[in-house]
Amino acid sequence: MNAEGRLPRRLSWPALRAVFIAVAIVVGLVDGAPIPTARVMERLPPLLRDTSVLLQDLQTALLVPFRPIKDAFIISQRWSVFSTTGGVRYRMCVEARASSEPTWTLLYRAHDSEHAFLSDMIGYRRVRNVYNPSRSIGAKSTYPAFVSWVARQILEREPRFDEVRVGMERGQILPRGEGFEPFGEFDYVIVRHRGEVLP
Amino acid sequence: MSTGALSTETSAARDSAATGWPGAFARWVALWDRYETPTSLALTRVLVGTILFVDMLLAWQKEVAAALLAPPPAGMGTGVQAFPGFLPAPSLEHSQVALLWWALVLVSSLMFALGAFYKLGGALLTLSLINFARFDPNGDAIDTLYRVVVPVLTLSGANARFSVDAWMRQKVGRPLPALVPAWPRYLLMLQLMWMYFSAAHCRDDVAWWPHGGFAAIGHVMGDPHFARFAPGSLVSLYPLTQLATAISMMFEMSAPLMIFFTWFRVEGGGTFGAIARRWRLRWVWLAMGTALHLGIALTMTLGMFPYGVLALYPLFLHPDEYRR
Repeated sequence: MNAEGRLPRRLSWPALRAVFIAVAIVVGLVDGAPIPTARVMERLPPLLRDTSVLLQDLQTALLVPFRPIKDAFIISQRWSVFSTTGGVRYRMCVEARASSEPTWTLLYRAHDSEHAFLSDMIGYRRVRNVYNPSRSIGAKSTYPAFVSWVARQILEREPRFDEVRVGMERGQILPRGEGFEPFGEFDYVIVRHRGEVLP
Repeated sequence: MSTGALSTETSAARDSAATGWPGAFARWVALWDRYETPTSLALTRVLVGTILFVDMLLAWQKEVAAALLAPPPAGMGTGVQAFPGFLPAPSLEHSQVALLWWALVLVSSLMFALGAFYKLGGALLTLSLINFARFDPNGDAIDTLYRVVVPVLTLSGANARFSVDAWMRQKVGRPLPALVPAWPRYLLMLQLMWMYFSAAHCRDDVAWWPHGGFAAIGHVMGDPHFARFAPGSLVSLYPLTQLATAISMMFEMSAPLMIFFTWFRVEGGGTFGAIARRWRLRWVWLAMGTALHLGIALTMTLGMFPYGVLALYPLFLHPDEYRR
């Protein structure tokens, strides 16, 4: 842009860069637009739900040219950080037993100092993200791989065991910070035998 | 309207006297063509690189470095192809490749933190973070954020200070520039503000809002997978967690205001600008953010998330403010 306010024939680098940045900001805003999620849409009246679906389709269409960048960098401008809390939650339990034993030995239970085998490893945030169930999708696709891995770790360290069972104990967050009440019921239970995880 | 609070004006800014759309475009170009001393960007570079380096060391110390990326049965990874496709990916036959990718993050994050062969280190770190997410897709928000932050910082002149590169250039009599483009700092500030604002409006759980009794942080502290202290052990502090939830939401919802607080930090902005300066609202907002992240670090086991976000806070300060 020159002092007379006319567009130059060729864009200078600063002008081109400013255009790129403008495009990046607009694309980011479209990507992160607060369009209701499917779970929220279920609770909306029909008119708002239809509008939301329309907006979602528009968003998808607008982002088509930028999809390769999003996919390559695995980025999103929709930041769901602790978007849901409370309600039904889980605590993971890891048990093992010898094939001759009828009962399971509890080795690890989340936030249980008396059953903390491999807790340093299992509690590391990158590992926790592999097994912690998501409220929207449940167990993650990598959860069975985690079970195989943790079973291998246990069976290598404790030759007295022959199988490992991993499960998520369902429970409820109590009101007013009173803690977590387990129901004694388990979801996503997987058992791995020595022959499955060790050569 | 003053923009002097942001950075040094260039000739482009002086040419932006035109009116209407051409004038608006010229002012937009001028805004992103500003220069400043590299202090804020350099500090952020050091902190971001260090955080990533420590996170990788933790993975090693906890004996999960390779297991996170290797496919089953050796690990918990996805076994997908690398990006770009010709690069090796951890597989059943080549599970040791997982350790190489981990080592690449470790080495490149150190190069990034030290500012040693910075552009190369930044490019390698960007590539390795992308692939880390492909093989281990269960990262946190901080991992996603850093996949945006690292490439932008790599494009910046963040190695012009506190770096091996700057030291080496000084030694050979070709010092790095005293002023660097300010646009990466502006863009990353906007990114951080958007992250907060988006996090707030994505929260569809009533527990974050007044009609849910601001119970959200109390809930997280009762979740066995995330609580640092035994769930229920801090019941007497529950009202504090409600206050923390309310302040968190206020802080995140007000993130866009930080644009104005920053823009008018020295002058301008009429009554609003005067109030913001008088009440030091920019500093209040930053203090709230710092308290929020330190609170998270103290009460939840979220790993590098709180430290990783705080590592970006030097961006909110104009380089001139470090001289005081």
